Amino acid sequence: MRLIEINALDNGAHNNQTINGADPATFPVPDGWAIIHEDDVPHENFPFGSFETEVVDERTYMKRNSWTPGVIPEPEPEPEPEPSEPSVWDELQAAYEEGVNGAYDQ
Amino acid sequence: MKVEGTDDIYDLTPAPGTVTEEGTFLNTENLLKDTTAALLGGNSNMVPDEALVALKNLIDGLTPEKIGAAKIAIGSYVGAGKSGEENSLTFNFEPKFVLVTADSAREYRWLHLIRGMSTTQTSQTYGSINIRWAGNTVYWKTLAENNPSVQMNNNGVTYFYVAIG
Repeated sequence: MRLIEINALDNGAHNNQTINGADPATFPVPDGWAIIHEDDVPHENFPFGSFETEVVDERTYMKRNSWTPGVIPEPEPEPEPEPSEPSVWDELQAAYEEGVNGAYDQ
Repeated sequence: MKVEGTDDIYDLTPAPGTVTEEGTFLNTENLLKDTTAALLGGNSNMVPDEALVALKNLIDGLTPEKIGAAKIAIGSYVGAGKSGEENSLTFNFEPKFVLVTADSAREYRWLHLIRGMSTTQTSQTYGSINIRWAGNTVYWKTLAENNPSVQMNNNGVTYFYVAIG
């Protein structure tokens, strides 16, 4: 069973979740989420897009064939991880290399 | 022995000399005690066959909830490329442990969530995660902007999870 959050994020994507073996008739669908029909057409660019909803048997579904693909934004560069403080081993290695290289240079 | 005057009626009295030791009488105390019958919802008139049927019905009616069995759920989600806004996973039971990992050879990361935790760090990253538990749903997010990797939420990447509760 697949779920999708009805409201999109500001980048046009929808939070979503697939639960293996869940029963759409009884699963506790969170507020603001819809069930995706198992026999719906493939959703291009999922989860970026838009869709319509419908209520069936008091449960909210994504309407079949209502998916409109959105544009997948280019991923923004992630910040570089902060370097950790040099460890004792790093310092020992640097000193060893300097000593070895210095001996060859003589 | 044949009852006198009949051809096909026999009483239970053994012929003299054929029984050397008295056996155990068949009665409810030996076959199905009243206390046992009561455990199965019967009374002193319950016969063993009825008791076995009652026992089978009890076994057939067992559910994981009645025996306190753990529940397991597996599934996935497709990353939405955002961080800083909560991701969530909902189950039909209260999750005690959730493990999330990416279906990608380039993303060797995992996120483990144990009920009660309010913060953790996604493996192989320097990013911290804030966690919130509410009933059957677990929420998590990183406070870092533009870092969906830490939040296990990269564009178009499928993330798999397993939950136990």
